[in-house]
Amino acid sequence: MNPTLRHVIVGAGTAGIAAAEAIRKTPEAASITLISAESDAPYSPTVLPHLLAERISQRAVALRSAEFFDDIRCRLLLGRSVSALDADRRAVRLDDDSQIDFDRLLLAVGSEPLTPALDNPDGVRCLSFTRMTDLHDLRARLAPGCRVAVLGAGLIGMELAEALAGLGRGLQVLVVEQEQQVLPRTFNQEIAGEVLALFRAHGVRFQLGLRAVALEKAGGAVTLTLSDQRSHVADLVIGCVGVKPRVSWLAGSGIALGRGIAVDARMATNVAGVYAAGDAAEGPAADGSAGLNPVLPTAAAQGRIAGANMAGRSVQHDGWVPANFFNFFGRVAVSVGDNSAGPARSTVDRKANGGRGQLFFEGERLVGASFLGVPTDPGALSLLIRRRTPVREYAELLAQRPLEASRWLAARLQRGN
Amino acid sequence: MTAGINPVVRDTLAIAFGACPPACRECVKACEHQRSLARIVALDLPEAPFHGAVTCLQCSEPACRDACPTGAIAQDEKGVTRLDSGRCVGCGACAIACEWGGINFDFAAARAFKCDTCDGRPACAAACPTGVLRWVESAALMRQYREPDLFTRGASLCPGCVAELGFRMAFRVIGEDAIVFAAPGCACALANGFGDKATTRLPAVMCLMTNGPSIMTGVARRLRQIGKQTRCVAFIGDGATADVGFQPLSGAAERGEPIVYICYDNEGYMNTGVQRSATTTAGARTMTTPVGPHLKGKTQAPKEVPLLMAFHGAAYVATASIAYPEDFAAKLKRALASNDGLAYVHLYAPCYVGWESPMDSVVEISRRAVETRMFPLWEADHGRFRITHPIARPRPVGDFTRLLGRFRHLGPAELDALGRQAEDRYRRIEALSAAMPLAEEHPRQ
Repeated sequence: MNPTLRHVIVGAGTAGIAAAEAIRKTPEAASITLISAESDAPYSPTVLPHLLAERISQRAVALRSAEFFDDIRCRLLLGRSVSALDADRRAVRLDDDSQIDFDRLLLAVGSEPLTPALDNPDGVRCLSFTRMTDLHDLRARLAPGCRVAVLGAGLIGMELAEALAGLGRGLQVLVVEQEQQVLPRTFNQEIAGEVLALFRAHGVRFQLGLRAVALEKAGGAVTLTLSDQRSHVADLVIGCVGVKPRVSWLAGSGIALGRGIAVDARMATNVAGVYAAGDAAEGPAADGSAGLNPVLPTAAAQGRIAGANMAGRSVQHDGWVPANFFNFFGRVAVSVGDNSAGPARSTVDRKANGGRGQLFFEGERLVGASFLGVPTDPGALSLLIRRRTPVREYAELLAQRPLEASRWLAARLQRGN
Repeated sequence: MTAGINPVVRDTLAIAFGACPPACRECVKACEHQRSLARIVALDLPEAPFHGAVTCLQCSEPACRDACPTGAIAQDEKGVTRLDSGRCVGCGACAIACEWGGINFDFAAARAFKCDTCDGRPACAAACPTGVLRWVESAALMRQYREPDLFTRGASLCPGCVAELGFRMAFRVIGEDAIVFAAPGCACALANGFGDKATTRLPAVMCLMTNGPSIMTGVARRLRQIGKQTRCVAFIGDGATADVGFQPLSGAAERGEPIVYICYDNEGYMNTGVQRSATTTAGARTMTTPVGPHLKGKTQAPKEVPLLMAFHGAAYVATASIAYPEDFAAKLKRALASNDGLAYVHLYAPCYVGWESPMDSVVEISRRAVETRMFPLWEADHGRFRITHPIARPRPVGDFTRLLGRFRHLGPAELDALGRQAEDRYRRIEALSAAMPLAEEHPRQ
């Protein structure tokens, strides 16, 4: 290890911080600079719905204390956005045109919200919900009795709708989703249907199978027109139609881009010494494909791998498995792996202990699982799916007692039995 | 706190995997009583069948901590990963990140929670009626690993070798006031150097296979004469101990020479191509006990050298396993403390090359040998016995043999016979411990 190596990390989210720590674990590692475009202390956007729902205070959501960055001798630059990468000169340029030279660079730049494709002649403000400033904007506008339209019933939209519904204050929440179900790609129709019923029971209204096509001003409010040409009146419109990697600034830099920043299992890009991790990294999945998986555990794991490799170790990510955990109105919903039924698949669907569980198998191997209202262990299930473990013979046990059975099978796998 | 930057040195909650009796929930009840919500989960699955318990392993690099979006999970200076429920939003990222069953979820409060070892006094381990859960005070031993190694890097032993691991560990415990004695065998490479390069900072004597204890006798007696406390410690394999050099060892034990003799038992002549020795387990395939139409591996039961040494009335005799390093270290200290005769420590040393298993498997093999009663852990002080790690519910012997290619040819009948031999071996020690008990445990240092 060259003691003078300069490590620069762009993005102070989960992946960036995990990388900084991994770099510092290598005793000789030299300087670390962590650059965040946001001026708040590093936080995870995962906390936004929980802050909105007042489950936690703003003071308690910093990813790490201020002393932490001193402890690991990491220079933290807040409120400084990176505007360009010069891969040949090994430098990144900041918004004030200053430059920071690097020997190893990590692009942990995260994602940004997709803008809903809408006809919006009046320039109605469509909020988003991926940054702390979005939360402040929303809170400032959220008057009692407000009619809120949430566009998109994906992960962010549903957590936002749940938080809004729990606030009371006479808020009226409408969710618009172009697919026929909520949380498409996360749950299949049956469990999504139960989630939908749960939301409806808490007063959230849904328009499924429809897209928002137009926004117009209507006095102080907004008229939202859907693809069936019907109109709905709203006071606030929040776009939650998905996120995309924040990579447009890298066009022409020489970094290979697909949907995100293409990386190998070491989290290395095509440019030597430049790595990517987290929401922006298009990295290997456990099933051998490559893609985006913008969730916390993947960001943390990829960040850890990237940091270790930057600091001269050689480690590989064993590939991500899609996994999500929700707590909707006190009912936990967990989805792991691929929850789609297919011709080569067998499904086990059981109602047990007041909840529901579904398991998806390809031959003997577990490829997906979801549970609603039943204690389970998403980490253990992820491991079984990642390692393509033949557990079909225990399908009933996994469906009836998912917590204990998944932990037993995972532990057995880890101990080589 | 420098989070996660220093190597973690901590005590350990050890759980013997799948060794719980059916329907026992004593650990869960104790944890509920102490902490209101049980942080340990009983995996009581008669359908499987499986009966075990699982809780947080206190990872040195906790994935749950890295995934937590609010910084609610942190590792304290003792290496314990704690979850501050006041900062938990119940997002479940930790439960996805942890593949070890360490995170639990409180549905009523919508918060994650986990084990924090009750600040080093876990109620579950105290309540465990079977010894499946134990609180192992490993921090002291781990700290010794921050001291310089007495042997150089890059020895020519196979990577992942128990003999090397045990050799280095033994002398970290024994310390520098010692002379190391070696004899031809795998591990002698650590003592006798390579070419003109020394491999140890200790004075080292390279003996023959036939004369280690005799040379040690002379050196130890001279050291006594001149009033030195320096200990003579052998680290010698089973071939030289049980076969070729047994006579001088027997003589030294009978004479009561104040030497410490560690036998690392890899059950054969591994550095010359895996020939059987007197300690090779029955049924094992070796180069000289092949598997074919006429022979199905070794036909004889192994010579029980530690028992033979105990029947010499040696000052101290113990069996040890690298899977139980605290037990091994405590026994080394007792061996060093016994100055009135020979101390003999028999270290189980699986050889993954000769035993036909993966490179990273030796610790698990060592653990299974104990859990199946194939290799009981015990000690004897002047002919009085004590089992140091009782196995109340042994695992089936197949859980051990399945790890090893050298047993692949064994059918059900041969496995049964091997299981009976293990039972006999354990019961013999159990009977000796009952009839001639070693009254009280030596004070731990």
